[in-house]
Amino acid sequence: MTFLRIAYAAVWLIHGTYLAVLVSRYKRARREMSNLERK
Amino acid sequence: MSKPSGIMRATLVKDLRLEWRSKDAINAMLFFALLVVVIFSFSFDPTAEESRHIAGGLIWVAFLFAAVVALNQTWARELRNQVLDGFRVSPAPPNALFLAKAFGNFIFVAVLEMLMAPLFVIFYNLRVIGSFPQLLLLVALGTWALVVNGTFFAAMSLRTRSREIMLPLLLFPISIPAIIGMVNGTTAILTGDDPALFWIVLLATYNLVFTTGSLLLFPTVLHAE
Amino acid sequence: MNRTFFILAGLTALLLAYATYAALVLAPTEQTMGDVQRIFYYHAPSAWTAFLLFFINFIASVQYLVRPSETADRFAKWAAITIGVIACVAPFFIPLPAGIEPSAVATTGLAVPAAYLLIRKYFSDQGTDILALSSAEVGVVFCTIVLITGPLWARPVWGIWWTWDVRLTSTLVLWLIYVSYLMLRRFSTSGETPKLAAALAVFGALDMPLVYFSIWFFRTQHPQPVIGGGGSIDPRMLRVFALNCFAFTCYAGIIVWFRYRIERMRRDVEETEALEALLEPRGTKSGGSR
Repeated sequence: MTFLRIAYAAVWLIHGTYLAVLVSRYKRARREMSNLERK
Repeated sequence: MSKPSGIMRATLVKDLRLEWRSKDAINAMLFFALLVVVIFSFSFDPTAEESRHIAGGLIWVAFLFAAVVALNQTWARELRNQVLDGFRVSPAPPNALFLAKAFGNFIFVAVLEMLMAPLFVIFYNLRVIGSFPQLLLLVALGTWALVVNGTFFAAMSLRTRSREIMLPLLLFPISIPAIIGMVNGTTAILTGDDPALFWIVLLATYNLVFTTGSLLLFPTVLHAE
Repeated sequence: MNRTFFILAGLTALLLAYATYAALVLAPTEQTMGDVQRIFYYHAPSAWTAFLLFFINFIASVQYLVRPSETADRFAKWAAITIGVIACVAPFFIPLPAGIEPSAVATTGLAVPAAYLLIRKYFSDQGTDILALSSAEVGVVFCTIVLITGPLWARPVWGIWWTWDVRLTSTLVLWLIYVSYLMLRRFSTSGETPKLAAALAVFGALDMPLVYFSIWFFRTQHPQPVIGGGGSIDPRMLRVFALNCFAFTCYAGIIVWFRYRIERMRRDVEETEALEALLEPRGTKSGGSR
């Protein structure tokens, strides 16, 4: 694999991981909010 | 005694007296710095000529780690007996407390440096080729640079989990210009190769900037619940 | 998240895709370096974006610190405006170091009051803090990418992974400072973590010029290979570079927006839980927090 491909892959791996973390945090926040609203 | 200088002097004298009685911090710092020196000497095996080039770095790394030991206990005593809360609600200016702590730490670390210096000279066969007064000035400026930020970040780490590790984590990145200045200035004076003036000016600027910054922001940190 | 967000996110994704295509296909191949040079179209725009985000964090942190005090707030506002004015005028009268355009200094200088006044106007107290947190976090992500793509580009082209030159070392120190910022945020048990973090951000900003100069002077005394050197750039490459800068800036904006909303939600949940715990009548089982 050339360095070019590794670099581009690394970039999107990092961005993708961060996005996944954000989405899971978002889902959890939504869940907790709807729990509170239901109470 | 509500004048800032009076408070500062009183706090400083109290800290020095307490430390003199127990000698907790100074003993720990001394032994730690000695251990660092010995371990480094196993990692590098320099000739007398080479050691002049690397001694600057080794000395300051040893002092840096030992200073962290001292800084970590800066505020611990105040926390134990709720002295800090008492100080917060008193009308005394917070900066008097900060300066007292900073000067106290400066004295601790300076004493440590004076005790360690002969050991370094012996272990690494050092001879100062450049100007010795310049070296003293550099060491004084460098020590203040570490201590002023260290005292500030020690106060900031008071209300964190893993307090002892938080202090170096915050202090080291910010101290990098000062460390560059100290190490290169010391090397320059020890080897006599390069002028150390730029590093002295850099350290002086660093001290000016961060002493001002610490004095401006310490009240915020002190009153942070 | 509302519909505007999703529309803009979708557009940004398309823009990024096109920018990547331009970087990989449209841009001409560099003569000496070959295809590996295309890493530059990700590396440099990420650096630009990271610096922009850290800049926003700095402005937001200053705002957060001065807002409680009226005098400090006014002083900071006029300081920001003065910086902008001086930056617009001075570069055209004072000789600048080689390679620095007066117009570049002017636009950078104008960004200071612009960002400051905009943040002051459109963000509340808490909002300013959340903006600082979000921009710092996303900034660290982009800075990490800079530090990873840099060596990946340097190794095949210049033969070394790393060199302690001014730019790389300064970027590494900047990354270290902001990682310590995020650690303070995470480990602090204080109720006023935002204030402590803002103080740290200000210290970091004060530090960066000193970092740069100390390394610069050291390197003039002890020169070492410099990687990523200058040289003129083909206008087609410049266009692709600018396109990627714009695409990544938009992407950063979307992510910061997303992170901002998440933090808002998280804090709302915390507040509501705290209120409920307070309002629980005594004797019943306490509310469902952790």
